[in-house]
Amino acid sequence: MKILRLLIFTFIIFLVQTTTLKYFSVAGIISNLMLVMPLCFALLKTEFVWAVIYGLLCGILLDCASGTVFGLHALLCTLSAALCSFINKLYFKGTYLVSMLFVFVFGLLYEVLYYAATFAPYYNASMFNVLSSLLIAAIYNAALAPLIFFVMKRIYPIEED
Amino acid sequence: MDFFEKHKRLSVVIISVLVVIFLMIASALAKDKSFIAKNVFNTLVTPVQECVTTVTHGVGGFFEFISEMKDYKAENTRLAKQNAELERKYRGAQDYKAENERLLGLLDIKNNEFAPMNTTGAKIVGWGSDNWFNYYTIDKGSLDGITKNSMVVTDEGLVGKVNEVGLNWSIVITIIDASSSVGARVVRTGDVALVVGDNAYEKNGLCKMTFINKESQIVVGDIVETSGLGGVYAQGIAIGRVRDIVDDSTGVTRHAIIEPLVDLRSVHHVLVVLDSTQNNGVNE
Repeated sequence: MKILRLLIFTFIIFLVQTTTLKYFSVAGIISNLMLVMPLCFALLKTEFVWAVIYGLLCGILLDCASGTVFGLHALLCTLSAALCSFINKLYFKGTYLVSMLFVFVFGLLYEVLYYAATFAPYYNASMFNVLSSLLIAAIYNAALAPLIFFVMKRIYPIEED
Repeated sequence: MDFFEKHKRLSVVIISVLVVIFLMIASALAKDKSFIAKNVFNTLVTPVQECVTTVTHGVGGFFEFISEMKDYKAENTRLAKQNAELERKYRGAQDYKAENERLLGLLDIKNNEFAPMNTTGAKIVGWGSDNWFNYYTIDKGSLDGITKNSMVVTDEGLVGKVNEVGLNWSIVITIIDASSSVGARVVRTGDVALVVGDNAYEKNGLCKMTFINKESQIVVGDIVETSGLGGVYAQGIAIGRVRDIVDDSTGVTRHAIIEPLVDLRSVHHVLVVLDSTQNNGVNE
């Protein structure tokens, strides 16, 4: 049942990401909720396997809506979720503030890798534009992380041992 | 099997990465066609996106109306004055039109304008989900006759071209996207140049015209249209207006900042020209 709730929530967020989020852009930058979701899921103390699979799913959904090479978002989301889940077991204390920090760091890493793979080899952009876009995106993702984390905890409650 | 059990986490990551690589290879092998899994998914999701977009457009429009109410009275006065002036010019233009038609008939010149082309209307149902590229998803695809590189316009001017086609969806790359380049011509001076997307201007809805000769007489306010060179865009489609002219670091050429005539951040309906890649007479 909680898996069904999670899948429905994921699809709703996908629709919001592709249709509505542009109305909430900051300096022309939109948040990447389909990345925040698997990162928050990984922070829920879920099993590593499920965190990776969920990252893969969210990445594939992003690829379906993307105009760039298919599979890149899936690859980056999978690796981000895997790394986040791995480090979570060592350091995460369950607070919303720390969830923001995790999402900021991994979100920034994701954006840097995506930029390096798709944009940097082919097009020119000034360092100021690149850095400002990366930072604004990472901060925006981190700002929405507590909300997504809160909803995730309700939708996919984890039984404590 | 022992390896997988001993290194469960690593195994999961390796399997996931292999799945992704498989998807990437399958997608690359599809070449100009859309990857089948993506095609199926978007075919099913596009109608849902259309419903969501219709609702959000309505809600967004309501809030926009509220926030802009205070400007309506001043705008109304300005438009009434402009309307009176335009009516006067229209009456004069009617005489020119009649004379033009008479002369064209004498010269037996075929009308080569945009209107006779085969077109289909489409609605934008989705926007790009990353911050580096500028593209839309529209609700028409191959079932409606759309092909890759079909030109996309509105009655105001050029929007971009179709980059990927599904059954009932297509992805449109706009002219302000970094990957876009459009052969252009300044209407007043005849100078030929290239209008390209630039990440520095894209967030403000602007693009750049490059390779302008230093001796060019281009000025701020000049209208730029498609030149028809390159084989993708038909000739004579309005692109935008020159907003600023900047000297390049080389000192030999200049580039101009172009404000598209179409407000690409708020457009919701477009026209896809179905035979634009066949009507230019120029091979790509």
